[in-house]
Amino acid sequence: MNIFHYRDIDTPLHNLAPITKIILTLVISSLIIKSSIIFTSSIAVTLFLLLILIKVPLRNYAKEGIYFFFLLSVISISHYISSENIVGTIQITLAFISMIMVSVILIDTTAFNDIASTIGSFLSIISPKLGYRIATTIELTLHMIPLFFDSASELRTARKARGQKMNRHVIRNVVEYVSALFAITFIKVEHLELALKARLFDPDREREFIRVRKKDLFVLLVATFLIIILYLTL
Amino acid sequence: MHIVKNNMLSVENLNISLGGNKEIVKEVSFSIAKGNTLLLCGKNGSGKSVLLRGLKGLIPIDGGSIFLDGIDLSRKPKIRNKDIALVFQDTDTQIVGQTVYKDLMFGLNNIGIKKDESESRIEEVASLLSISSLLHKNPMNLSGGEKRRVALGGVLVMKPRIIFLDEPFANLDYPGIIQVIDSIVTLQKEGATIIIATHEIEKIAYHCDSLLILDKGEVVAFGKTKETLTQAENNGIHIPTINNKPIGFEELTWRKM
Repeated sequence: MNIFHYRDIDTPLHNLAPITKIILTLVISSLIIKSSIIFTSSIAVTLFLLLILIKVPLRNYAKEGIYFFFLLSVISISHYISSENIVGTIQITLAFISMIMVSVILIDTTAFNDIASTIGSFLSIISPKLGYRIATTIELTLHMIPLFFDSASELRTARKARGQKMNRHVIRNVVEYVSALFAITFIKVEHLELALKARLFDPDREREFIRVRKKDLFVLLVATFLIIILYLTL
Repeated sequence: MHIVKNNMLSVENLNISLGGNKEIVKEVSFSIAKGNTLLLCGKNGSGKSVLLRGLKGLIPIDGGSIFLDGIDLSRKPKIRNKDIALVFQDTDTQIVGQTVYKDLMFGLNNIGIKKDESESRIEEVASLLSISSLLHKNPMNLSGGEKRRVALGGVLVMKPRIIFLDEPFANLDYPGIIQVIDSIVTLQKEGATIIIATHEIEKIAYHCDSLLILDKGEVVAFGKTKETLTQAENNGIHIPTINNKPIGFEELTWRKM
């Protein structure tokens, strides 16, 4: 299995309501940018332990790590060149890694239909049409992410099988690879569009509200409280 | 060619050009009776998939008539889209739910079926296609044959009047092909009207009532399968051979499946 796929397994995190996980993701993502390096490190370690706890197939996901490693290198190098601050650079690097980990946890434990329905139901209180439209946009975007990574994986394996070495003629190879990846992705998008149309997909359809239980509220309040306390003290 | 207008689906002089100058489907006419199965075959690029998509209303048609139970729906693509189900060749993009259950629910939500009714339809279809044990699995982890049955289930729950299967055997291994043939035979027993587009005709021809051969977008043969099969080899369709002779209808390799 490639990265950013939902796994329907039984873990405490999988059983939490989507809204709890979405709010916690937002809280972590917003606080992690402007905080101390100790806070960022604590969050990074906690998220890593959570990844292990829910048995995320990290070895499989590591194959896709090259994209994030590339982005991470660009972010870290440019931050260091502009600030000449090694601690700040480490913190930015950890924050980026934490963001990836929190996204992996959210998508691994929550079906994107449920993420979309939850956000759609909440936004529909303000404007039903806009809420459900946004839910559809989120649903389709989240659907495309695993398709994109699956295409990348197929393409990489096919090229490797034919003896291509990416470290030779790097620029030419990367350009060819990226062009092929986009071409495949566009074909898949076209197929997806036809498939949705064939199943009478209505972007404005009403979404089912996913119930929040006492357990979810408890986890949400305790986790948010702990994160904020850590943020203020560290 | 025998076109009977009051058949379940009758198509007359259908043309599709996809907006270009070259017609992909040219003057295609055929009909299929309720509860029958039509095998649509032709080489790659003969226009099979375009014809199915045009009939369903996913792409515009340039001319011709499409009658469903005697009613001309050629100018009503939305009604055709609702009444006709299409299972695509690429199941990975057709399956949109992150569990099989969610995927079956997807179409039902789109047509506004209430939860109780949806659950009863899912249970019925899952039992029919033997996918009940897969309901809570991630479709991406299923085998090719299982994915194809899930995709078929996804359209069956919507209770279509006619079912199109586009290359149902593509990229499947032996067990996968058997699973798909079993599902088709099950649907036939339930009285479904089916059109199967494939070039692998030896796998399913025995179970089809009529055969339509398409070449460069034109109908080159249409009639009862047994009688029309002999014309397939002359039109670039591979028929398995015994002692260098194409096998006959009764000897079709996969007929006992």
